[in-house]
Amino acid sequence: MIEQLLAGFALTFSHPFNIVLIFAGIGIGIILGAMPGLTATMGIAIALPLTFGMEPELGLTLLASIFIGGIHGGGIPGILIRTPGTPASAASMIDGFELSKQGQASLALGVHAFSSSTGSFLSTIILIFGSAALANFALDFGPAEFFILAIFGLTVVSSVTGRSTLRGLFMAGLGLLLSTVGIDPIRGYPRFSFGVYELADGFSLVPALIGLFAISQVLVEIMTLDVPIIQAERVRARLPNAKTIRSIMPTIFKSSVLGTLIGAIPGPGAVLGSFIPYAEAKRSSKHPEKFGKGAIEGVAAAEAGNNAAAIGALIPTLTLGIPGEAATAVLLGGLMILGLRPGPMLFVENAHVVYSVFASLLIAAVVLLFLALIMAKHMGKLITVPKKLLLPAILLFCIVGSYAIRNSIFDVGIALGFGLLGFALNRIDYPTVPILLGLILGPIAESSFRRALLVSRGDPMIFLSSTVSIVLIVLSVLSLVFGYRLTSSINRQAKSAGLNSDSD
Amino acid sequence: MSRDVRNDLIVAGIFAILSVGVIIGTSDYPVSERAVGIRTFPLILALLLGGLSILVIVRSVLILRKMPRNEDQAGPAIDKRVVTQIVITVVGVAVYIAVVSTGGFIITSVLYLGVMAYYFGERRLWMVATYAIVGVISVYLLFGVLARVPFPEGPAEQILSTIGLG
Repeated sequence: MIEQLLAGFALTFSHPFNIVLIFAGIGIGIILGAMPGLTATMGIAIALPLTFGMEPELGLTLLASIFIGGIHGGGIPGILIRTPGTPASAASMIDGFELSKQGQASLALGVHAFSSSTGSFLSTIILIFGSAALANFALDFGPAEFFILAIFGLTVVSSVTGRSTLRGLFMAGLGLLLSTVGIDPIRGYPRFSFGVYELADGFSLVPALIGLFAISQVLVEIMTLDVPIIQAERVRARLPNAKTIRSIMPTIFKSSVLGTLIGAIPGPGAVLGSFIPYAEAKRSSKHPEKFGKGAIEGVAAAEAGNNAAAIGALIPTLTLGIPGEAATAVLLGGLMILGLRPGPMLFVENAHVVYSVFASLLIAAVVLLFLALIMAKHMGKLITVPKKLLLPAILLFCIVGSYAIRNSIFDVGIALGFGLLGFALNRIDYPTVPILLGLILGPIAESSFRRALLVSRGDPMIFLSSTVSIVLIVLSVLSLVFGYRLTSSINRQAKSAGLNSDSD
Repeated sequence: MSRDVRNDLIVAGIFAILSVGVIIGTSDYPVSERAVGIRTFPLILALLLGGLSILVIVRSVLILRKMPRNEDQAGPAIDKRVVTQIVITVVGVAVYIAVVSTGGFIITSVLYLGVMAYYFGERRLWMVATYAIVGVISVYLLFGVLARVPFPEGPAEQILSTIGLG
């Protein structure tokens, strides 16, 4: 594995353009993550078409760098103007904004940058070892196991995204149904394309995800077009001194491990990945009373955990093809568009690409610290760019990005359709991530399902013939039960707090 | 609460219709001699989703019947002006799609960016013009030159190619 990683570094440095892409990706990610309302997911979706002509390792490096930059960037407006760029950044806002109020915004931004960078680096090391082990285990999977695995991924994500398990299941079903449009994967018979030539290959993934995650978000942002922008001060980030670094390193280390483990479980995502390490840091601190009042440890724990959880989510995404949340679901789409097949075979067929991306992630973690410190003084200005200029530009990027994959105006219409669908679902609180996952996993699920039944001559017991399948089925059922209980409990709490709610 | 239940009822109704549509739509697919064919997967999905829809419809109707009629009938409505802005944005993209093939990428995009920025509230015309032109040049360089995407051509692209820049 070390040899493969060294080969990955060699491949990364053999393309000077790769380093440029890391800097560009981290920079774009930080800006997008920092602008309230914009997300790393949207950035990855819009950047996808730019990667078409690239080597897979270069394209993935750009997308992964935007991802890492975006996760970090989300914490900046939380610290400066108490408006977290992403939900996962809310934990670092608690103490980060308190430090800003005390005139220590420079230190808060410095600790934030250092913790993000270190958390990303440590988490990438766990990713390298963890994903290789998991991929090795999954190499023996046959079509029956792959089918059950796809169902497991869909049930887990449906269970924990959104407010209701039932709604998640409906959306996963919709994604699976949409994936059946076009030529069927085994016999090549056209289905549900209604004679439309452009639908012969089914819904193109890029327009679908640009619509679901970028256009719908623009439409949501239009609703707050008139909200006055909070002005932020111009602040430089200050790297904490050696004594401070020594004092926060145990917290960063523990939070990174916790964050990675939480992120690796499909579903919980970066929000729990930042709040659980924060709570643990508070519990084990010698000065828990300082948490919430400007504790440096609080910023370090939340931010290291946040970035580690995001990278941890890459473990099931790369090895099993199961993304935990929106950003990794879009990254998974990116993998497929670049001609790679996510899952254990990725580590066999494209090991050089995987290890080159791992090497790039380690470099990106270092670049993140460098760029975060440099860019901090400009962020106050950047996060206040008015939406009246930002939103039309993002829409133009969405239009061009949808068009670029097949040079097809029809695809722009598809993106607009998915955008409207995503917006409508957002308004009625239905999750969109399961739709994308259904679209991605649908063809894999169907071809595995049919192959397994062909092998067994129609005997459905093949799906219960291995221990792995049985364990995955049990886990799927447990995830539904757990998801139902979790969403019911959240809805009950929301109801008792006087918020509008419903449970299934 | 009733708003959420009503939403679930509407979505389940749509899925029930969709499931019936899939079942009917796949009925004339060629039947396979093997255990599974072209029809199997969408049919299983339609049956599962249809079953789930019926459960949700029954459950929602039962909840709504128990609920007092005056409870939370209307959810927070969106401001009419916001609805207009969203409709104009969507229509803007639709018009762009319709016009770009004849107008070409550059002119259509400059007009689109300018009009949308003005509509969203940017009233300084010099800013609107600079923003639209710089924005389109950036996108053109990024996608047209760097990623080599062949954009739809119009008068501006023809002029650019005549002077050797296209």
